[in-house]
Amino acid sequence: METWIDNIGQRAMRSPAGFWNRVQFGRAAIAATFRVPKSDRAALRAATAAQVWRCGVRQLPLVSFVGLALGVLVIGQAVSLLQQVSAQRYMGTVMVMVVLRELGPLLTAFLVAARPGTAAVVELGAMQFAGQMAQVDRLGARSLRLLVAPRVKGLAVAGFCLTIYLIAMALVCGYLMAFVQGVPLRLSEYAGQLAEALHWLDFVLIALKAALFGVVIAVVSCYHGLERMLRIEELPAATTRAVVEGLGACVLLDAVFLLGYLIR
Amino acid sequence: MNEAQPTPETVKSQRTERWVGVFVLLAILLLLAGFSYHLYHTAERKGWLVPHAPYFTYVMTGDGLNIGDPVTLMGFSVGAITGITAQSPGGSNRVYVAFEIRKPYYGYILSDSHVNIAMAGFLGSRRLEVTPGLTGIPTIYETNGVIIEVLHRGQRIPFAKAPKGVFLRPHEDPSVTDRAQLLLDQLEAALPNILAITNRLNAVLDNANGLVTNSSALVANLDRSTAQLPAVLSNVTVITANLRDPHGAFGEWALPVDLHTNLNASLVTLTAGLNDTLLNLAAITGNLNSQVQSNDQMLAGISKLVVDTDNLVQGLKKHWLLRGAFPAPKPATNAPPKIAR
Repeated sequence: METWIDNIGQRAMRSPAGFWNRVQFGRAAIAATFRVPKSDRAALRAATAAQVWRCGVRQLPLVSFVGLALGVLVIGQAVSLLQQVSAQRYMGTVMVMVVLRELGPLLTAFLVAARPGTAAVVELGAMQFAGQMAQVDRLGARSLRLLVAPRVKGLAVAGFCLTIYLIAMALVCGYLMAFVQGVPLRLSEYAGQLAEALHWLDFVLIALKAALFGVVIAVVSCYHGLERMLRIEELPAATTRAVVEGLGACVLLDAVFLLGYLIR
Repeated sequence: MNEAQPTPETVKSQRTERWVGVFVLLAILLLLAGFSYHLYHTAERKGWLVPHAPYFTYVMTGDGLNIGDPVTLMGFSVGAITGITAQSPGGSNRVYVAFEIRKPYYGYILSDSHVNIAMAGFLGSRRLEVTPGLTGIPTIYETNGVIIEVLHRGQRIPFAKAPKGVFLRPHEDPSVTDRAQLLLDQLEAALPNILAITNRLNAVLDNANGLVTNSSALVANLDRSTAQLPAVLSNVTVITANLRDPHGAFGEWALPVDLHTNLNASLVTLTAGLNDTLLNLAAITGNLNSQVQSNDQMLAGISKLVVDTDNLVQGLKKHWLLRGAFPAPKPATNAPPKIAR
């Protein structure tokens, strides 16, 4: 009879291999994304646009709402604290530190993993048991090019754009919240505080981080959708694994980016 | 040859691509706008677009100063430190500190300005504070926005001949370690006194212990006295009631009942005596008046007697028998006095 200790042992033995499989898959997916034959370029472009539409444009209302909530909550909490110590001039710094550098990209990654990411797992899994995958070689170069590459590109672009929109929304709503709360802070002063708290590297790192979060979520989601022939009852578990692994990978990647802020 | 009609899927795909294009372009524009504003603000804050004037000073130690640290003037960040180098041994100047001040703030710096090297924060860092000049002459001379001349040892020289810029006198506070050492020395010197104070304080505390014990006993006694206080208060109440009633024991002793009658009779007697006295005084005054009038008539008689006596004497002076006794006075003359021979 298998005990929980055996279970842990099996997982520990499987983990390195599983991790290596994911790395291999990711490398192949990225290679397929950038090495596209001329014959497939038009189809890939259309598929990528469709992915950006589904994963980006259609997520805009949700992302805007989260950005609004983030700005209102962060400023709402910060104002009450900063006013007690007459430190309203740090409001811009708080917004940059909290929203722009950390929460903005991470929250966008959560939303992307939770909606387009899960949709990708379900879609690819369903394609397998619907027999559509028979037309393309399973996990071969063409399937990667037609099914994975548009998602990698689309989620990278969508992740980048949604992060920018979420941050912009949070900053604008943060100022509106401060205005409603009667904080004596002019718009030019607020913009000056934000600009002063920012570093040129922030712009590079935010764009890079947001795009890489999208790539990671796309690779993990596609891996779990194409890993093996899934039965219909296995789809929810695969979807959950994809979300958890995708978010875990994003948090690890965020920690790596944190080093960039520390050594600048 | 007719062109192929677009299918609904093609139209939908084109529309999707257009919207996706707008979505991506707008995000990129937002990011670029933010980056541009950041660049503009940084350029404005750091004065990248305005000319800078070089200055330098000498300090005793470079501790707490870093290249790039802001230089302040009247509370504004007006420039930055551009160089910190140790000087060659033997000289009185130890550390050379170069810094830049941007336009228009170098207009405030005159020949009597100086640099304060002040403490900043609690972590041993220091900063340069330039004080604006009051009565000196300008240190920077520019033409058409370009620095042409600088003040060097009280004279205007071309900017190219003074690459270091303008020297400003330093006012340097001692470093944190020096101040800490000084504080420790003072503390060390004051330690015996502190110990003496502590010993005295200990003795005072011992005495205070006894004092507290005595106070406790006193309070206990006071407590007992307070317990007897109601009886005393009741007696005081009775006495007060007796005092308030004139027919009481103490009231009759202090204020007799016939005091008013006796006082009235005495006052009548006194008034009658006083009346008689006043009458006698009026009679005396009348007598005195008549005597003063008689004295007036007597003085008139004496005056007439004196006049008559004078007439008699004048008559006697003219009688032949007594004329010799009253020689006539000689008339005054301008002749010189006769000399006796």
